[in-house]
Amino acid sequence: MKPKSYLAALAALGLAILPEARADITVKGSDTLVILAQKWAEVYMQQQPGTRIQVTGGGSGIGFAALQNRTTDLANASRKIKAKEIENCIKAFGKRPTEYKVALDGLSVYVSAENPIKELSIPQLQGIFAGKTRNWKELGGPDAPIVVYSRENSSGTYEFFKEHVLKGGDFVASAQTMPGTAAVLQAVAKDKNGIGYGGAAYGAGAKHLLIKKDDSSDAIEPTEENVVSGKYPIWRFLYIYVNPALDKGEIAAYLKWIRSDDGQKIVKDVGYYPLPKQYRQ
Amino acid sequence: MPHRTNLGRRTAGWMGVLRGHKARPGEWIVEKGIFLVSLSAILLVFLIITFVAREALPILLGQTNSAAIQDVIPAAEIDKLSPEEIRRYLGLTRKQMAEYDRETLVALFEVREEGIQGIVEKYPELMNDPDARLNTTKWRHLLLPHQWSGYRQPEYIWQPVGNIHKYNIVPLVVGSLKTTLVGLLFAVPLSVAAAIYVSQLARPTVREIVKPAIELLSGIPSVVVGLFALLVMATFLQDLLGYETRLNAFVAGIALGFAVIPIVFSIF
Repeated sequence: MKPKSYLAALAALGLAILPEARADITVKGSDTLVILAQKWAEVYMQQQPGTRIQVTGGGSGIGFAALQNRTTDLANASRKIKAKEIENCIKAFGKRPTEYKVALDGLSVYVSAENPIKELSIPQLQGIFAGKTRNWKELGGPDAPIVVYSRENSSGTYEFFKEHVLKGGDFVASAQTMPGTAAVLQAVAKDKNGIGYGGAAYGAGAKHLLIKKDDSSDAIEPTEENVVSGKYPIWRFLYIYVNPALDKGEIAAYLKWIRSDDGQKIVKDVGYYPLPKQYRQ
Repeated sequence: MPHRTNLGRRTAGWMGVLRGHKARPGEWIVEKGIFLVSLSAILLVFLIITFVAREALPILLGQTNSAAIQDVIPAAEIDKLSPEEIRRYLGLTRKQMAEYDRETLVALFEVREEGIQGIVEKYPELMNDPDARLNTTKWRHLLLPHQWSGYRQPEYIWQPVGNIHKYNIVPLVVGSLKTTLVGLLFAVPLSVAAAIYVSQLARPTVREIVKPAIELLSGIPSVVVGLFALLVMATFLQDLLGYETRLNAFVAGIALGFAVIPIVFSIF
C-alpha cells in the first residue's frame, strides 16, 4: 500500500471514533406513547431550535428500567409505576420519581370487521381473556374458537388490561403475544375469530367493541366524550415520570409545554384524548 | 520494490500466518490491529455473558423472594432494628447500605409498606390465596410444574407479570426447541440438496448465478424476514393448509429456516 492510502485509512478511523451528537433530552418507554412522544418532540424542536430530543419505545417496563439506570431523562408510561420500581428509583437517585399525567387513553377491544358481535361486558371480557370462554357461540357469535391476541409483558397496556379487566388474574396460556398495538390490530384484522386490545390511537382495519361495565349497564363507545367523562369503563391516564433532580431548566420547560394547550392539541391529532384542565397542575 | 520469497525456508509464522517475506512496517501494524480487533470482539462477547450472568446470580443462588404478600415492617420501627436486619429486609448489598442515609432508608421502608398495602387493598381475595406467600423464584418452581390456584391441573406457566409472578423455564425452552426443530426440518434438506447441486452438478454459468443469490439471503436483516413472515407468509400458509391459528410455531419455524438456509448452504 502506498503512504497516501495509509493516511486516508487513519483519517477514516479517526472520524469513525468521533463522539456522536448527544441529545439534550432523552425520552424512553411506552410503545403506546411513542408516536405521540415523537410528534411532541418534532413540534417542540421546531419551536425551540436549540433543543434536541431523542425518543425511543420498548414498553413502559423498559422506560422504568432506563429511569432506574439513569439512561433516560423522561420515562413514558401507560401505567402507574409499581412499588418495586419506586424502590429501585430511590436506590438509584435517592428520591421518588415525579409523576406527570400527560394524556387520557381509552383502551379499545378489537375484533375482526366480519365478527357479528358488537358489544361485550367486562365480565364477559374477563372470561374470554382468562380462557374460561373458548368459543364465540357462548357469546352469541358463530361456532368458532376464540383466538386471543395480547401484548408482551414489558407493555404497560398489558399490565393495565390485566389489572382492570382480568382483575389481576392471568391471561390464557394460548394467548398470542404481539410486539405492539399496531401488530395486535393487524393480526385481528386478518383473523376473523380474533380478539385483541390496544390503545385507541391505532384503530383502523378492525372494529372496536362497545363495552358494558357489567351485564346490566349500557354499552359505551370509546369516543372522546365518553373517555374524558369516565363513562367508558376501560380508560387510563398516560404518564411521564422524571427524576426530581433533573426536573428543572429545559426538561421542566418541555414538560410544561406538553401539558399546555399547545401540547394537548397534538394529543388530539394523534388520536388520544387531551387532559381535562383539572389534572394539568 | 522487489521482494524475495524464501519458499525453501518457510516456517510457521506468528499465529500460523505464513508470509513469503519479512513483514513491512505498515503490514505489521495492520496485522496487529486486526489481531486486537478480533481479540476485543471475543472479549466483548464474554463480557456480555458475564454481565447478564451477574444480574441473574441472585435468582440462581436463591437470594430473591418474589412472594406477593411478604411480612411488612412499618417505617416507624426502623430504629428498633439492627443495621444487618435492615439490610436483609430491604435486600441491599453492604456497599449500598453504607451509602444510604437514614432518610433514604425510611423512604425505602415506606415504599415497601405502601406497595404491599396497595396490593392487599386492591385484591383482598389474595389474603386467602396460598400462592400469594409463595417464593416463586425457587428452583422447584423454575423447573417443575405447580398447581396454581385458579388452574385445573398442575402446569408449567410463564407469566412473570401480575400479582403472583409465575416463573418457569420449561415453556421457554420448549417453545425455542419447537421453532428450531421446524426450522431445521425445513431448511436442512433444502440447503444440503442445493449445496450438492451447485457444487457438483450445475453448469458453471448456472453456478455463477445461483450461488451468490442464495448467499445473498444471509444479508436480509432478520427483522425484515420476521415482518415478511408476519404479514405475507402467515396468511399464505393458512390459506394453503387450512389450519385454525394464523400465527404459530410453524410459520415462525419457516421464517427461521429462511435465515438458516444460506448458512447451511455456504458451509457445504
